[in-house]
Amino acid sequence: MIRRSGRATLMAIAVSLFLAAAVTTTRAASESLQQLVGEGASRVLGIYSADGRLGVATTVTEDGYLVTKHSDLARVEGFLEVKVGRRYIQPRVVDVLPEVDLLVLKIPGKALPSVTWEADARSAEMGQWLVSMGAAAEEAALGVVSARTRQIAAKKAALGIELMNSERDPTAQGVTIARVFPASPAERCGLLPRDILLVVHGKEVSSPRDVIAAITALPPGGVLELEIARAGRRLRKTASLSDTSILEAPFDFGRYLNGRTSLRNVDFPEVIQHDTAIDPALLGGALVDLEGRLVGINIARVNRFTTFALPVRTFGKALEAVIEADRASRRGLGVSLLSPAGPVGSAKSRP
Amino acid sequence: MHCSFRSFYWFTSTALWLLCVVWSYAPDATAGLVRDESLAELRDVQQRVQAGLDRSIAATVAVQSPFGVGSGVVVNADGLILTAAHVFSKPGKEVDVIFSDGSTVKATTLGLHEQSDAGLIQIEQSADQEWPFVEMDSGPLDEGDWCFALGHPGGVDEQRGIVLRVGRVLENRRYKVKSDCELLSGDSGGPLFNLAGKVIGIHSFIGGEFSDNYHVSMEPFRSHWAAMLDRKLITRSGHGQGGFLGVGSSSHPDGVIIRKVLEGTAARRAGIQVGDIVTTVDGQPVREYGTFNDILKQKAPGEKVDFTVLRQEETVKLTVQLGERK
Repeated sequence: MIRRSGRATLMAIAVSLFLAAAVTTTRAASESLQQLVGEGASRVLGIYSADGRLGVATTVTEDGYLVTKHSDLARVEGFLEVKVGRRYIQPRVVDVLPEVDLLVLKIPGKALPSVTWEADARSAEMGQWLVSMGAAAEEAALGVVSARTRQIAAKKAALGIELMNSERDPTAQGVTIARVFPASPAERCGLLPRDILLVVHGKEVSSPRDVIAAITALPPGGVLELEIARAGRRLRKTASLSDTSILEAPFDFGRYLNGRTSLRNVDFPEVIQHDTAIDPALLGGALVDLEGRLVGINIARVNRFTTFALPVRTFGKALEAVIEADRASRRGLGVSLLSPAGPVGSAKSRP
Repeated sequence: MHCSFRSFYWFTSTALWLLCVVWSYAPDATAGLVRDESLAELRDVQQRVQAGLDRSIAATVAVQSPFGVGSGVVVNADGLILTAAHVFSKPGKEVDVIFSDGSTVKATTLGLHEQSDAGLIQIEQSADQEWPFVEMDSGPLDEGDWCFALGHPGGVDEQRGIVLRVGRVLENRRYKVKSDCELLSGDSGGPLFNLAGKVIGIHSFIGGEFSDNYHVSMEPFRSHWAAMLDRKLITRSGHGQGGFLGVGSSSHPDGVIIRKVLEGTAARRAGIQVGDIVTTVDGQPVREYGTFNDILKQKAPGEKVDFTVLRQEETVKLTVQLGERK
């Protein structure tokens, strides 16, 4: 539970490189934790944009279907690449499972290292060890199931601003921001107090009511386009929305202590809560038990020490259906698996 | 989108439950990185954590006061609760105690030891009621020992229930234990257990690093047990309270050894000397500094107190008229 020494890290990398070659031939349960995380790392791939690594995806079939967290990638413009070994491959966007915030991608392949999973797998029990996999062995982290496996209710989307009441001056254009909440989507996208909101998600706004309606029409994690006026200039901003808990508890230390948390961490049919504080860039990675079986996919970093994972049974059957339908349509069309992928931002997403 | 006084309330209530938070924006802070534990060791830890978990959860409570929510743990069938002093701050106050099954009972705050942040609460007893409880540990505690934490981080959440964290003891000091079981506001007062399911700490405060999780050790509870049951507020070094002796002292195998005698104080007037080992105060044996200090703090300025001291292997009896702290 403590950071390893540099020497141990180097050894772990060496072990993981060795295992990456070996795993495709062995199915036996791992002998050690190091072996387990090495195997896991071969099944979790880094996702890159022109700006560098954005996140990870978990390989769920040997022919190259991948899943990752959708909302963190939804605002990315341009193309994504997946790193397989030393190669960067542009994946095809297959589908989105909006209820569980998963994006399904496809890369070409025949016998890729993949997680093994059963669509109706049992969930994990409180106190059970779980290993969160990263794209390299040293990114893996260990934790336990820390609370009841349960549904997380939906909350309305929020940007994290307080607005001036503009009703006093009906001729004024737009709506002025009075306050920007700390660590909110508004702060992250660079909004400032006294900025004037002109257009919110394609609609011109003239009252706080208009702004609230435009924001809450989107889900938490949704991408909001804004046009603002600042010092006489017109600017465009893009924000990934969070939920209303940032307004209820703007000074909740847990949300910003020890690193970033997820914008969407509500509205899931069921989550496993575990006490592993993973880097949000590792969401979409596999969560496995000590036997190496897939228990879920990490989907949200919630606070200082809490991560939510989707149990396999929340998405397993839907994922199987998406993959089967995609394989069937590809066979029917006879198209190459290397057909160009569109930007992820244009993938099907929740209205 | 709107601001209300709730924001302010949240801020104050959150801040109250953390004695000390060092702000940190660690960019890629990730806790719980895998190290060299064997799978066999992990399976053993898991089995032992899970074995007593139901009982440990049943004894863990939320403590609701007008200031906000903390946690606590029941340590006997009569409903005596260990918690953190900063959860209630004053003896003799009424609080609500909420068990993991949602049942709520009234309780009264007893004493507290300010320096260590140890506090006691007593559930109001109805006849023959037996409360689920766990034991306080009295064995040795070593750095590196596995441990687990329970509590209500962020407050009570009925759907979520009590939250578990598993980690290791990082430091074991006289009044505090440090672990990598990560805590949040609302956890304050909750229990840290060893793998035998006995209480080894009470959650107190956190710092900016993942490993900065501090728990009150069992020592201040044990050494101030009677005074805390007696609803005493034991303040730090007796500042502003109790009679003033005027010595610097520390624990010694035979009692409390005098390291320094201040000029113009009660101790100087009574003839206490550097090197004297105090063995009893008012007939009560003193084996360590905490007890010595507590007894003196309960005496008023001007009160006469009998001391037995060992001076160069001779037993000497002294009477000291306590002075006033200036």
